[in-house]
Amino acid sequence: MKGRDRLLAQEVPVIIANMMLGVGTIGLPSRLAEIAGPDGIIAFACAIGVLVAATVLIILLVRRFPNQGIADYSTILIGKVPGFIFNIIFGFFLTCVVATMVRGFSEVTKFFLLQRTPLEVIMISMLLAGSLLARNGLQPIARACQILLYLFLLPLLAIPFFIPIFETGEFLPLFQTDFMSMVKATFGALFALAGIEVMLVIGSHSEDPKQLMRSSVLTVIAVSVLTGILVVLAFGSLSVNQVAKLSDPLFEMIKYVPVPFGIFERVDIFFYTIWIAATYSSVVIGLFTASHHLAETFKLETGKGLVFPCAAASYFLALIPNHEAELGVYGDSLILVWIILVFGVVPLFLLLSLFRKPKQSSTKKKQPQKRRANPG
Amino acid sequence: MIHKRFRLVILTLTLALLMTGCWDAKDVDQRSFVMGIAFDLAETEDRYVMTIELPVLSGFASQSSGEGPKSVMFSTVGTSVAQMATHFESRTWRELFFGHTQAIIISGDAARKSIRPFLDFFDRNPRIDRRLTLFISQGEAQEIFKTKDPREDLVSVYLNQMLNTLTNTARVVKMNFQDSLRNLESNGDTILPRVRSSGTEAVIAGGALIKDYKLIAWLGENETRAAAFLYNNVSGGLIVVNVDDNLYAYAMRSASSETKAKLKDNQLIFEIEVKSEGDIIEVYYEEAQGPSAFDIAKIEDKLNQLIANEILHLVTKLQDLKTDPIGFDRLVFRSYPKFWKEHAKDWKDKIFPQAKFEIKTTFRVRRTGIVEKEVVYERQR
Repeated sequence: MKGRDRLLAQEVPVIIANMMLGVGTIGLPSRLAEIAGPDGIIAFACAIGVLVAATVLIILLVRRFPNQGIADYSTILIGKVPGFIFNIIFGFFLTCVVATMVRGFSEVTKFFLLQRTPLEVIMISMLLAGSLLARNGLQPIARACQILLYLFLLPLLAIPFFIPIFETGEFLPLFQTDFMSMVKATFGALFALAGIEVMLVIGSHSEDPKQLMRSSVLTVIAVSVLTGILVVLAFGSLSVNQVAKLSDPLFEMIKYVPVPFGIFERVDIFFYTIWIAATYSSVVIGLFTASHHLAETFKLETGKGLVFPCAAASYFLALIPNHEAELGVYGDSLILVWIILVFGVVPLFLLLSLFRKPKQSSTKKKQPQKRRANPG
Repeated sequence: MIHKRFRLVILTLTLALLMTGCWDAKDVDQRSFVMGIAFDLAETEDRYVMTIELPVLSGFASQSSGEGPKSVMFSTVGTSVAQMATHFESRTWRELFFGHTQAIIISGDAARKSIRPFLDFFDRNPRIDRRLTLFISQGEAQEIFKTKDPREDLVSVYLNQMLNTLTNTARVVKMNFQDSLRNLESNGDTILPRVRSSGTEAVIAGGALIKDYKLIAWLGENETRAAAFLYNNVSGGLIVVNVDDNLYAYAMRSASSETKAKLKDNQLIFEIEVKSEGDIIEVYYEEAQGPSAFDIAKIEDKLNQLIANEILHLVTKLQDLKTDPIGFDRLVFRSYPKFWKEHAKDWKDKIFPQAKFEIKTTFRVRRTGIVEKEVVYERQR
């Protein structure tokens, strides 16, 4: 099984879910409340719509080239040189995504947990630990993510039952925010929900491409709903005003939860653990995707050797923002690139694929041991 | 192969070193757990006295022998909370830790000036447990920590526990730090629990009415009970009513309230509905023979009248003082956002004082204890 790098039908949702849940989740309610107030919920629903549309476009493209990554077919569709340039930019984008996640994680961890530990040490620890798993290929990642998902999914589902105060009035009045603010809030929500773009690279590993659309869309909706529940809980329990003021309202909401039976005084430390695990899985998938894509771009046998260089590049990119506010600007820029990629490049590739048909038959599968970037 | 293993060992060792979090390691005995904080006005203008209550852990260890003090108090003078907290570092080598703080008490005099300066430090602190309670003391705040109750080792823990476990009285507003902030940041007004010390015991009863972060009036126990109904945080309590010269003690088993804002011909009306269920736990009478039967309808009617009057009295007082600690403004904002946009600026001064209140109370007596009625045999008479 060591050489197997195909994703089973049940592993695709796990990868997508782990990529979506992570650093951005904890700050999401604050972004929504700050820009749109109670209408943040509507902006969030709009973001889910955008995300589902993005998922459909990405999976349509992936299914059109079932056994090829974007690095392979981009050169067929737009030519070798433009394709190569695109792949380098996309690889850089993926590395920047990892850098933003790692820096965001380090900032929050330093503030809440490790106040004396240098930021660099937190980042290096996360990147090294992530690289170890990312180097081992897609199968171990999928397995690890499966375990991690079960670990943090059950407590997340239990949270709503322990919130002591929930005021439904906090969600009123609706439709009071102007259109531009709603667009801005939706844009902000996408930062927390993005992650489906990894399917452009990993999607070609799916064992059953026919099931890919259904499982991807359902996963995106399920994870978005779960994230939405957290947003609703934060609004209802802390109040929209408070949520808008706090940088990481979900952590504050958890502190407010009384522990039944007096087993522990506070449960926030368990929530931190869950969040760290979720971020770790996102970083691992991000590192694997970046290295794997670059390996495909440079026609290498495996992306394993590029994991550490990608981690190093992420580390140096993560050092660029001077403070947390600047990191937010970087995050917004990445979302802008994400929108251009998903709603510009992907539809363009889909359109071009109508004229430049893929060389391979869609039903023909490559032998796993012959895949180029295998494993990692 | 050896090269590969060597690399793996190096990587593992590096991770092991990095992931231990040594930089932040802090043993329990190197921390001073601040359980309670009190703020008073200093003699010098614009300065405050900050007093902290710390447990003496060795005192708890020797609990069986009953020796040694269980808590210690430190006071310092300064301007901001952060500055005063830093001053304490010259008195103890242990780092002050606010993660277990249970109570913050602000003296009435300091609160009259403003409670705003005391909140920001705790609001920003990531370690703070937002379930702690904010009290306003009648008299000096640090005096509360000096209360010598032989049953209790730490006054702050005792206060917080008492507030959270009070089930036999509704004469206090149960509000933690998060709830208080929610109200204050909405419009600057709230009601905080009042605490006072008699030397041997600390008493929580009544409330402190805060307007624009300043204490403007004390609320009596009945007024505070009315506020608790409006906040919908009454979990129990005792109400005594007089029916035909007999006193009936009604113990609330459950209570809830709902307030709705209505706008009729540009007149703002608040419809308040209070519901409660409970039991009669005592009938007080001085005659040899008590009431021959319970007139439940009459008792319920009296209860309805009493609570409706108390609520009406409170809201009229709030209107007179032009303060809205209950958050009626939020109801208007949610139900009539357009009206709110036009009148938000005049809310406290013009709109709220002119609002009308329609109060409906529904109290239900479910049981009268295990005694149904007084029965006296004919021959005994």
